[in-house]
Amino acid sequence: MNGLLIRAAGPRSLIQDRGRFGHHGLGITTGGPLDWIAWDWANRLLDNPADAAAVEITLGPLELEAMIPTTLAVTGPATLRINNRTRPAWQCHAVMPGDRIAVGVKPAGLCAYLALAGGVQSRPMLGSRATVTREGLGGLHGRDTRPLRTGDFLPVDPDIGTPIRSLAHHLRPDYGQAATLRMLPGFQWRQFGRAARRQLADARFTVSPQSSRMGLRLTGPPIPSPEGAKTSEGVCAGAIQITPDGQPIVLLADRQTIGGYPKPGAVITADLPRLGQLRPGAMLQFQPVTPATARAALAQIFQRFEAGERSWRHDTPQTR
Amino acid sequence: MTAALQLIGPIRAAGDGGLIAELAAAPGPGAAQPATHRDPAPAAVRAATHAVADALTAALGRGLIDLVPSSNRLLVLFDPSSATPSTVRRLLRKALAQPLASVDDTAQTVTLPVYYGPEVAWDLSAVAAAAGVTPETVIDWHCQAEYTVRAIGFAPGFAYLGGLDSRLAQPRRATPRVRVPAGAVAIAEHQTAIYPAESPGGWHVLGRCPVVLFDPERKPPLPYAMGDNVRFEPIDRERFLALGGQIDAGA
Repeated sequence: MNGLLIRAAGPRSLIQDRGRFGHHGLGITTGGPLDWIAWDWANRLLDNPADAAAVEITLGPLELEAMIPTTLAVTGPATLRINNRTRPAWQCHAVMPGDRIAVGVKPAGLCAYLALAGGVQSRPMLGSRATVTREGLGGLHGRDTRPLRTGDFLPVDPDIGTPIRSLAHHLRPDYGQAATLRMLPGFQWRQFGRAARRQLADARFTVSPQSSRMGLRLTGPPIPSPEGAKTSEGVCAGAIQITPDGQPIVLLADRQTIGGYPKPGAVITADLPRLGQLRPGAMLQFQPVTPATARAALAQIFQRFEAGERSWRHDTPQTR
Repeated sequence: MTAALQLIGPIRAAGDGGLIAELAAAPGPGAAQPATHRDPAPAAVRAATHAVADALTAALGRGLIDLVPSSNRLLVLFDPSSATPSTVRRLLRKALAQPLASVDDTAQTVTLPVYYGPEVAWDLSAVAAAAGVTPETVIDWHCQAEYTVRAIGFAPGFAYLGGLDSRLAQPRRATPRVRVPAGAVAIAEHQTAIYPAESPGGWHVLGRCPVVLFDPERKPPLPYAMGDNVRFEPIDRERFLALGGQIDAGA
């Protein structure tokens, strides 16, 4: 069999492609990476197809043994060791059969990404390899209800010759920043009273240990909820729900498709990765912004993607 | 059945990659705009969702991410790096203004077997006591009604079925159960539902359905869609087991 043997799986290592789209009508969520920017860079470094599956490693370490020659890249707030030697993240590395790979996560974040040339060849289900354990979709067999385990075998096709690229430092995300998350006020924003709105913009919240890939539960000064705003409706990633006890839940990749709590707004797409990288105990603040700011922030991320691709235009295949 | 539905109010932002439209039943021909809007027929929401999906896929391709219909809303999720909200808003408004094709033809009636035996009907006697009737009466009321799939969400295949006999309506359990088994048939407020997979749950459990509801490898993965009708057919223990039903330890 072609691939890598998992020697130590870590607490939560999940196969994730971009997400499972088009099935919300059946109540099926998207899944996909918590930090889509780091995930995307890992695939871009390897010139993988845009929907290739990588491994999201929460806390780590994930330890693997290569059974084939392959090329890998590790991104996010990550540490990498190959055969017990520290190697740089944000760069491609060629490995040979028998090589030992260990991916860890720095305290500045929560998830690292390991991409392999050609992508992880797990069984797709409903058009995606994204793992949502709660739904029993994705994973190695397409129907897994658990993260990857020690002893599992990660199917990957052999690769020789993918160019060894690295990403310039100034193009990498900064994981040390204070967590100020930009949010776009939604249509219920005005239904929250003036005091509630000010509190949401000014207060500092703490990430609760009860958080999961479904949502980040926050604790802070209670925010009074408006009356009569409890119509169940589809919810987006980043949506800020205020529960009856006044505490926010910010929805993440594995969110329910429909929710009924009032929502003052949603964290913008550009800041979803920062949200996904917050550990329990981390502090955060919300900053209401305009749609133009949300658009500019996203455009900046794609400008970086393009700058990275430009810098690799003249690279040549590796020779061994 | 009034097939048509209309967009009411402005289409509003749900994050930078989402737009949400509020939907209501359209007044009949020649009727005045009502003072308060009624929810559209679920089959009309389904037809409108398909129409919007077709129109947005044609215009945006992979820029359309997903659609989430609920009883009176439609959420459109798009890729904000490839489509602008103003473009999506315009396309959505246009698609919702088109007349809907053959809404009535698409709704089907699905009959599902339910075992109401004491091993699986964890809350039947409590519901009967609250309603002031016998458990047999609760079962009769529960299977005599025809239900409509009003929304699908919460979990894959979890259908909110409207049309519960109002004499059975009760608020959710004060403390949700940590574990409700797959197939559990339950009620809360004016709705009933079947849990497609084991999950936590706060509804009152009346019985169990032996049929596998959600199977991602089956086409279609669900036996029902939004707007379809669902009926429950009571079965005995023997039939329940023959159909693959499982009886486990109690609550």
